[in-house]
Amino acid sequence: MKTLGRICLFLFFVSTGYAAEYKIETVVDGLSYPWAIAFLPDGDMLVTERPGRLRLISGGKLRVQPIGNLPDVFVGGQGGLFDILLDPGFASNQRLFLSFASGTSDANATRVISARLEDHMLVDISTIFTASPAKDTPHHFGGRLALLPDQTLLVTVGEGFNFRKKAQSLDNHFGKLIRINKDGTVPGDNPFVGRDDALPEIWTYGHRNQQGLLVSADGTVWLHEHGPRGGDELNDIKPGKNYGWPAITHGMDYSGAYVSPYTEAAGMEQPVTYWVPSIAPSGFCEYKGDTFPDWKGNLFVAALAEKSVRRLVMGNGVVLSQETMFTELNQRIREVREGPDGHLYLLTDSDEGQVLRVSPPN
Amino acid sequence: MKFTKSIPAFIAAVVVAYLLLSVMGTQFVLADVKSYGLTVSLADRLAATLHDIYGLVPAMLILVSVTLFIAFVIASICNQIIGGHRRYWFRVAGFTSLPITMMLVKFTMGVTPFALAGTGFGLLLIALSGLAGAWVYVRLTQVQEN
Repeated sequence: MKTLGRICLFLFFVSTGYAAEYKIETVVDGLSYPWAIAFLPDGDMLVTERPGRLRLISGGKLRVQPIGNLPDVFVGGQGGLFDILLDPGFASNQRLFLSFASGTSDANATRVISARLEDHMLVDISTIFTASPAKDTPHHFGGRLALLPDQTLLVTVGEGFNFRKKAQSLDNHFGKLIRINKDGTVPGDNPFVGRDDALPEIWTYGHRNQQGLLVSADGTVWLHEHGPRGGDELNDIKPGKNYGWPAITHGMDYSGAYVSPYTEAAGMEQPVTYWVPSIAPSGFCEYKGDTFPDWKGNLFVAALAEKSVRRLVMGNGVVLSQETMFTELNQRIREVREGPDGHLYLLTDSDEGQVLRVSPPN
Repeated sequence: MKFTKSIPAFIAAVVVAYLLLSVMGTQFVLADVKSYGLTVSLADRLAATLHDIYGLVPAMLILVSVTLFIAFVIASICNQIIGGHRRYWFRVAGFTSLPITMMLVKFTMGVTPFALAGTGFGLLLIALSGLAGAWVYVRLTQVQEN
């Protein structure tokens, strides 16, 4: 009987698994729809808020005054201030990159600026990319940024919802992954440079609304994107490839009709994995730290609709297993990032948004 | 009594408008799919058409029903107050009501959730679906009145 009890106790702890192996603390709250976070060399953090503010968390406290001199941001629908990315030389040059929706409700586009942070203000601001053409929908901006090892900048641009057909043509930026130099010029080795029918900034195409982008330790470029009703995708990005939207998809239109009856086609890439029903992925990181040794090399996908974070155990470029985490928060998770301390940081998507830290219990 | 008799005619009108709208919507989307270089077989076309007729029921059938109901009530009131040919009031109501609804959806949501409504030609096809529904309604209610 005692043995049976011990077995039951053991099974209980095994079944509760990770729930017993971390704690979640609030770093700051009172944020309005936080979208992205960057960790400064001195331990401070910068957080973008979608309504167009860049906030500093210093010494664990949220500075009341937002960072000054931000450019005009179009705030409407899904539009606003999106991602922030620090230059690798930030400690010496204070340079950062911001993506946001620019323009008006009738003519808006995803834009990227380069700027320096000086005395709680942005200075030396230059626009290095604006998606073309402008659109009249406040949806599907993409807006994620990442740097490749060669120091070129990747920018995701969504297909604007009503312009999904354009994701399959190369004469526009809708539904594309863009690659530019940090000064906005186009790298000469981009796959479509020199083609008259293509914009030279395009690196890959056939995307929908890509809100997760990372370059892993082994150099793999991972991108996830929202599907419509179902069909969220994780993609292994290779330059010049067509990722299929809207010609092939595992999702349905919101109306209940097909976007396409096909899920595969010649010349179009398959996702590494996809989610039906949608989890609404937004935010992404690869865990590289030592604080949670079991998580090393795992990909973490923040999920808005599922109110969770998916932990993806990867092996040989495929997803070996998935764990749905942090559902106990019952919060839409916009972003998941690993901090320099090896802890995970979560941004919750609400007008009472929080920065949460996931750390070991002790 | 007259109202009770018009219910089957209204249901028929909604079914006709919905079927036309659904079938044309599917062909519109499949034309896009072909434009990406994929081959759409007849079997795939039929399967997709049937899929969408079923798949659109929760959203589009309700939208068509409510839209045509409001449109026909307005047409009936106009006919009684202003006079003229009843069938013209209903045809105008049928022709205009569904595109107006689609544009209202776009105005309120900022996007076009039904692909067919994304172009001017698509809106014309939607209008013709509503016109066909109105034609059926007028025809059936006239027969009943005779």
